Amino acid sequence: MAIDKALISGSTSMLILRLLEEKDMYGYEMIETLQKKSENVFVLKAGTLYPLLHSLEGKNYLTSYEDEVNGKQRKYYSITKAGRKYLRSRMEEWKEYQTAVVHVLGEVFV
Amino acid sequence: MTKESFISNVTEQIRCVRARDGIARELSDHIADQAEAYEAKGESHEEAVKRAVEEMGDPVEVGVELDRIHRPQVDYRLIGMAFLFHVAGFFLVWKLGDFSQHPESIARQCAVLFLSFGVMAGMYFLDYSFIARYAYGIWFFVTIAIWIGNLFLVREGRIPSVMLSYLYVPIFAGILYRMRKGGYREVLWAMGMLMVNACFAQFLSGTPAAANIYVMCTVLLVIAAAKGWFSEPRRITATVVTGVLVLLPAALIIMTFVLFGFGDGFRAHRLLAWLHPEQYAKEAGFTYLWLRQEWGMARLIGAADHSLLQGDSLIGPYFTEPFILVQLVRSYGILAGAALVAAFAAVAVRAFQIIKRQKNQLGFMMSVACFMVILLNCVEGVLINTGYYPVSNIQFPFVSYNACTGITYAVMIGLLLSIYRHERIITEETWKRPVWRLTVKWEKR
Repeated sequence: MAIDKALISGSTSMLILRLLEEKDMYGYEMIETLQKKSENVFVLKAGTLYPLLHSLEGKNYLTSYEDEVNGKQRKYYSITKAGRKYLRSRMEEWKEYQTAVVHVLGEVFV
Repeated sequence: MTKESFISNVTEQIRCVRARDGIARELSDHIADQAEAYEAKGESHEEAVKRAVEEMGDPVEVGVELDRIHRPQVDYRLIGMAFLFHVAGFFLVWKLGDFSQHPESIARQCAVLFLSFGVMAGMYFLDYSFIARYAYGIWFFVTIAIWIGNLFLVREGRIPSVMLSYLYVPIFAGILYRMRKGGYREVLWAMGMLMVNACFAQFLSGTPAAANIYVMCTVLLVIAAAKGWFSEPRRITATVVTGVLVLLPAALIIMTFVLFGFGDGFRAHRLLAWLHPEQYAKEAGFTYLWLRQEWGMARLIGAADHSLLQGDSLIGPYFTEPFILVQLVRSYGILAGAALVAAFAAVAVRAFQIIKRQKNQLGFMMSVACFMVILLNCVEGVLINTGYYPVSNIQFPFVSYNACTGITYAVMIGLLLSIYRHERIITEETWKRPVWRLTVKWEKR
């Protein structure tokens, strides 16, 4: 199911940070994993991902390093301590938002 | 659209040349991965690449967004501070140095001010990673330049510069960066370079500067070892480096004192005069007694009242740079002195903030080097002015009419500005590549 772009864009950084909390990944791997985990709901374009990754790196939420895997040089991203802290706060925010939405729409869903 | 034209469309939007290569490589790898996945699903190579490129999005939009992120940054706060403090320092030196009696000094001081601004601007626009790239060449050039400069100064009957040797500290940070990923051989080489720095500093600028440079380079080396710059276990390396460079010399010094006491050399004499100024009142102890007297008479605001002095009046050294703080207090009061110390502290705090922002290892190490040079000299200077530290020819930033001091501090502040400017641009992968490049297009007619 395709979801309204505006709904996802605000939370993309949270999703990316959550993925990187599990393990370090390179850009393509992130898109793949996100797509798989969301059962094809979140199909992130590379053109959105890389500016986001670079901006998160600029804010010190991520760091990057190069590593050779299967003869290919990859640029891996890794979440920092500040990134984990930021992720926690975004998740809290999200939970609050989600609860509020459910409260309002609750009757419809029930 | 081909893969190449997509990437060139993206990179064309990015104004910062240095950031382009890394981005191009990352996007190219992504397209290759995506195309490979399509190929595995049975598409032809051309079709797979074409589709992978289409999936990337609009290259101009991507490029504009990346340009916004990888733009050089300007640290207006440090630039503002540097400008304000240099200009304020110029008037302070003018006033305290009584330049009205020596009009030629005004021209000289103006030249020092503009030279400082020029050097600072030059360092700011130059990408700081060149220090790591050409560390040994720069080291050699700086050494020869100071040596020739000193020969010239001595011939003119002036004292050789004490400050220029501090340039070794950021250069040493660059040398350390080059040795990253090396083993014990590199650690040993770094320790050797540290000793060479200290020896040359001793030869070029005297013992106090050499001791400070030794301490600063040791701190840099210990940080490098603790941060895992060398391939050997970081704890062992850091312990070995600390042991060899800190504990061993400390043990030797303590042993020398225990066995031979202070001795009767020139430095021992200076040290004893600092500890017991009354006993050496007619010699080196005089300065400490004068300092006590000045602070005793100082007012919170306004010039000290010398008529309150009981007994013999000690007339302090006439205007000399190391004692500019005490002379400021003597002429304008303790609050004016506190303002000068606050100015130094503000620059040191800003430098520390720049260190904390650094994700890039070279930027981190280089900013630590500049921070230490500024901080250690300021702290030592304040302690000397208050009599808590043995007197040496210390030089404060901003309030010096010495060209060499102006240049040295301008390099440090310019480097900090450059580190801040390139914070999001220089990466661990791109530091080796020079920024400038010459492209020659050959067209057949």
